[in-house]
Amino acid sequence: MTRSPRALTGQRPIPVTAGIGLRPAHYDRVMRERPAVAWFEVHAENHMTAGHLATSLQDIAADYPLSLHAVGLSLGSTSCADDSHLSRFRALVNMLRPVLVSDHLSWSAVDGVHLPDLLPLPYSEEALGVIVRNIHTVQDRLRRRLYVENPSRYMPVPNSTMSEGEFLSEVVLRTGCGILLDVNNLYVTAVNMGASPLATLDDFLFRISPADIAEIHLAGHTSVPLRSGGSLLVDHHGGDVCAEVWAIFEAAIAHLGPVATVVEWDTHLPSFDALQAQAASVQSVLSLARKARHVGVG
Amino acid sequence: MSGLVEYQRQWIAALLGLPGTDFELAAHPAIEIHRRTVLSALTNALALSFPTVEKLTGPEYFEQLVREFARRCPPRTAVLYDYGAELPDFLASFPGAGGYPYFRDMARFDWLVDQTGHSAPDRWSDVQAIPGYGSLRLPTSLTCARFDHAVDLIRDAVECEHEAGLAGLDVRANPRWLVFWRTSAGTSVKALSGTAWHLLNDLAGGLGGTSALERAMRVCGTARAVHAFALEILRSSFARFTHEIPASDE
Repeated sequence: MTRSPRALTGQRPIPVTAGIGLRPAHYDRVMRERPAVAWFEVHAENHMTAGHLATSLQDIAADYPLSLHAVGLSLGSTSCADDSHLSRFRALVNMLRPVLVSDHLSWSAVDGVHLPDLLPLPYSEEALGVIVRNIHTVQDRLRRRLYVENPSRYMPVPNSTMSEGEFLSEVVLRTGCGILLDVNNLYVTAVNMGASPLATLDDFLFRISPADIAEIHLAGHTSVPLRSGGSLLVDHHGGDVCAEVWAIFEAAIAHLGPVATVVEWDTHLPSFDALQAQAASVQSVLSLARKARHVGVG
Repeated sequence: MSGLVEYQRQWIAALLGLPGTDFELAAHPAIEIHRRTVLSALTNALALSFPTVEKLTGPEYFEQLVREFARRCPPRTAVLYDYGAELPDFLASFPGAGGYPYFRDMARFDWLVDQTGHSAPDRWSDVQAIPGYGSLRLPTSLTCARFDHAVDLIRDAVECEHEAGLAGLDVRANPRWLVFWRTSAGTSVKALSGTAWHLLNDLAGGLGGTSALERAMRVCGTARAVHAFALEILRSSFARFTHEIPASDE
């Protein structure tokens, strides 16, 4: 099967440095001080009204590259894409002109009901057909390449016939979309499924071209006890990146070279200074990888 | 039917606790994680849209309300700012709410404040000629709403968390005529007399300056209509008024 033209671009759209996940609590500071940040990642659905958040973000977008990260496209939904939502999303993209647009390898809606969660898809031929159809719809409507993030999983999904890496590589092949590699989600999923995180990463990197991975997410997770006994890791985006996830990240960068990377925080949001410090830590890893490539190591 | 369609329908049913849920799926421990995520996201979103209701009912009752509301009226949008229009009516018939007849009005008020805050600021209607006065423009975000209770005063007392203020609140049924509009600072709310409210509602509804004023004079009497128009509307911060009469099209 031939690749679509978009897949042949291979050009990474976003500054290959550490960025910051920008949340509304920090908008005023950014607008006031214009700090030295390479790029920001923002959430799409927070800005899909005409309220002050959208206005503030438009002001910020004038001076900073933005990565626009969505949770509401429901790419894996068997129901066709919500046309009205897609129109609003396109209007937002046209307003902000982000350098990268992404959503998840998951679904949230069926029969018109839309729940605020990223629900698991079976990695099957049927699901592949659905997600390929929906990604084509979104890319055609936005007239740009979409980047798809690997989600967290808390249970095996019946009727899966492929690994996540295999499924994603087929999605990329058939649609020309790109990948947003969430290292924390990869780790959480592997642990919850009883798999080796490093082996899972190896499978990903074996199947997916480095040129198709334009952004990496890091984040915190937590262990949640279950009423039935036992526990699961949940990516709550409310804590520091743990040592194990840093190790997976460093392994990924050693293979891929530097990739635009952001640490996600959605709950217990730290100060903007703390976010900058964290971005500096990420940048150290990326800079080391860049140097290593220049001297022919790795 | 496609296996994937059925799978997705079963998931929604399991997360919302709907009848016909697949027992095995609903009993899986991981479903608990997703249920908590959904309930938490919806509760947070609706608490932002209905802050006074959330404070009046308390977090436990509010979460129960959200859980049942999501079952009856699940979200049909990925943009949670748009979710909740049916909550006021749902709350009115929710167990425990019957003893508080102002709850529905309070929810309507919160929703209007919230939705007005999501509209574009600094947009103005076309110029309306007001014969004998001049020209008037109103914000496109302007909404007039009538309530049976003094919900703006209840909101103010709840926000201040002023014990004496809350204790002294009159929650009996009394018509309250309010206007909402968007400013750069957020949503503004103002109480008007019934006469001014009806006149403003007609103007905002596109009736035309002459017709609106004539109607007000007919219903309320000339003096009252003129007084309401001059003092409550023209001098308000939501109106842009000039003494110039716009040129008419020949």
